[in-house]
Amino acid sequence: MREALLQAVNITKIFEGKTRVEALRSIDLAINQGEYVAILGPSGCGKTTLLRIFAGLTKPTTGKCTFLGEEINKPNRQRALVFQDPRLFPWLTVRGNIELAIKKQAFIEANERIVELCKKMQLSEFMYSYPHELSGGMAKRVALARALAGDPKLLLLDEPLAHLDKNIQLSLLNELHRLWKDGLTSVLVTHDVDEALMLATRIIILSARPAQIIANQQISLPFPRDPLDGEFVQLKEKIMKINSGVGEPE
Amino acid sequence: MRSLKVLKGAVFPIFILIIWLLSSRHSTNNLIPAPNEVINAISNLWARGEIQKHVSISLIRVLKGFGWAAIIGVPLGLCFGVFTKFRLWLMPTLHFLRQIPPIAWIPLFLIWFGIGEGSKSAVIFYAAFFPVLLNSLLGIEQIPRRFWEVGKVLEFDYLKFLWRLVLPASLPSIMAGLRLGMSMSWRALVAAEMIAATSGLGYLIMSARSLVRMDEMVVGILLIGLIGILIDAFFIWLERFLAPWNKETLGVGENERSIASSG
Repeated sequence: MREALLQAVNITKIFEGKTRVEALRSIDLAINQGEYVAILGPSGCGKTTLLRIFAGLTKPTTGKCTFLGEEINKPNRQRALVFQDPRLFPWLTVRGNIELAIKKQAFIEANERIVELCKKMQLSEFMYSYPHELSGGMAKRVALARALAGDPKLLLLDEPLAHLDKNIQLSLLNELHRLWKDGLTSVLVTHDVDEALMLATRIIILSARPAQIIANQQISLPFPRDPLDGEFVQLKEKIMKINSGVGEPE
Repeated sequence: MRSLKVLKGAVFPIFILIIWLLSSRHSTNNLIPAPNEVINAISNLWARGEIQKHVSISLIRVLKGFGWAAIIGVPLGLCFGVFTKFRLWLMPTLHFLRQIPPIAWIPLFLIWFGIGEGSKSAVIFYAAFFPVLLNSLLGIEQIPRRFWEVGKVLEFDYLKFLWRLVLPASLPSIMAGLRLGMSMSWRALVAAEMIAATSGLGYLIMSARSLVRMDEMVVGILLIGLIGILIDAFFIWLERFLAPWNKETLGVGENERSIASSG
């Protein structure tokens, strides 16, 4: 039995405003070390809210969320959140943006770390470029590099491939797979079943608002995965059925 | 494109110059000095060292008063932006004071600070202070929530929030406030010099008035406008130099998605 890295117990989130919105209801979930968990669900169901709770940016109304046995009550670089939009500071270069996440350390060490991360994320040529000079895909890579600069134990990804063209999606997908293969436990929020099936070792499907877990499916397809492979297609159909509320949850 | 812009901008001044020329030629009562008379006045005043003296005195005055307004107004505005509780206590008073034009204070300032430099510095300070303070405050208010969240996620400490987020993100707004403050203090200075001064551009106009030197009055007016434009251009350049990312990418004031509606 692997150690649960992140544990959510009976998480409920209600937004009180002009209208009361119940986003999440009774979510119980454990994410183990070494897993790649994809959270699927209809648009606006509360996937991002759940990810924000994991990150410590949003507090659950009821329930408890722990990371390495400690209750999550504020953000921490060990749980690196990559937002849907890259959110790079426009006044800093790529280098400066990545540097933001580096803990206080000697200049030479920090410099080495930034160079290494830029190399890893294929950003070496753009180290001194400003965000407005980057393409959408490059900006996402910088956001990912910034998240990695804090040496996280858990990577939280909010629709990392949204609004990118196919080629860039594919290259970023490989990057995300490589990071997981190198030992980084990851949680991916997406509405794209293909994306989830290409990366995840487990898929969690949420219902429409208020979101509840309606399926928790282990994915044992071997890597590298081929979207045209028969087993992949079968699994995709099954998940799509559940996702659209037709299939039987497991 | 740029030359076309300049050309378009020059059309109206040329039109005014022509009207000026024609009206001065047909004026019989000397109320409108001819352009050549104004040019002569400029060369005479320059030769006597009057222009250099009055311009430099006015500029030094404005720099002093404006400098203090910037030194106090920017940090105070940032404090109000960061510590919102301060605002509740002080903003109503500041909003009240902001409504009073600096010129209205001149008689009181003359009594309090004397006829010398003190009263003028106070007027300039007063004129520049509110635009500088309020724009610095606005600069913080306009930082998108998504940037604050990046700071939280990356565990910024107070110093990092200030140096890496608050100052650079509010810089365009601070610069806009400084630009506006400078322009306000320039106007207020001339008004103060017209009421009580023995030097400066405002005094140049008023002393020309007492001698009924229409040409010198026009010289004073033209100099005020010209220097005002040059100061403004300097601030525009400075803003572009210090905050080249502004407008293109920051997305100031954009509507943030509410957490509740994001899935």
